[in-house]
Amino acid sequence: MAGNPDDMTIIAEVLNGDTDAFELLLTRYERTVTCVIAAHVPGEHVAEVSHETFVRAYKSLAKYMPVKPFKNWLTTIAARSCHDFWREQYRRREAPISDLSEDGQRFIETALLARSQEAFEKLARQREASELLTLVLDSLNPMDRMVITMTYLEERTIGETAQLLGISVPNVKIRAYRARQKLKGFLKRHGIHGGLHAT
Amino acid sequence: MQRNTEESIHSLLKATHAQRHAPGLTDSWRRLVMAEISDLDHDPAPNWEQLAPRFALAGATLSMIALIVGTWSLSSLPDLLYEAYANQILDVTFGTLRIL
Repeated sequence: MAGNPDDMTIIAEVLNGDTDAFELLLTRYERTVTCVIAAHVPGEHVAEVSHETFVRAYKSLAKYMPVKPFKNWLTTIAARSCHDFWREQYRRREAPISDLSEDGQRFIETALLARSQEAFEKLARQREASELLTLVLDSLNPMDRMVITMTYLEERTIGETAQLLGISVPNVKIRAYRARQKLKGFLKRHGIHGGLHAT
Repeated sequence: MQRNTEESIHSLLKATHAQRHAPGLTDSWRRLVMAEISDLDHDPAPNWEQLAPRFALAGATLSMIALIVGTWSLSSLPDLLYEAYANQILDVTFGTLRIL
């Protein structure tokens, strides 16, 4: 294929039996896919889930309808692969979720005194911040985890979240509400009162 | 104070989430993906997938045939039931008359 063919030309080539042409899509969108996946799964699993995403995309390529850009379609597959990853992880999980350590508790107290964005960014680089986020997300089921990450942490719209996860808008609203209530309960247990506002 | 707590927790979790960065993928990763995709083409599984509509059609045809045969053979069922009940009633009636 000469020059810089557009997505539809490459897809047509792949569907006509030129499997190697798929590598063009792979290199074009691997960054997009890994960025989506890295936001949801631990770093050591990003390559594995990205791999799964592209294989799924290849298998479903014949079903791709160009009503929306290929990039969006691929992002949807990436988000659903992350959800499947968590479903599998939770199924295998044997140990119960641990609770916040004393260090973690102190860390939250320090964080509550922070005022500027710079201060939050500095705190976010600390190990305790990452542990806190993991603990908070681990207390949710796989779909609620995906919903809260998208709506509360990434501030995506309800509609966008629904489309990416393949669930209805009311379902996203219910899950986001339920997840926020759970997070609120988690913070309350650690002596932190105050809600988690909706975005 | 409550508003500040909300904002602080939200800002902290958001900032922590934003620290996650996508790792760069290597050439060997790309080769692995492409190798799996090439294997899929040689795998008999997709052929089965392609044949799925034919299996569905064959299944539907067999079901239709079974339904037609069933309806045809069961069309005489009410008559058979009527006959069986009538015989039973007659047996009971004659049995009673014989006792009397």
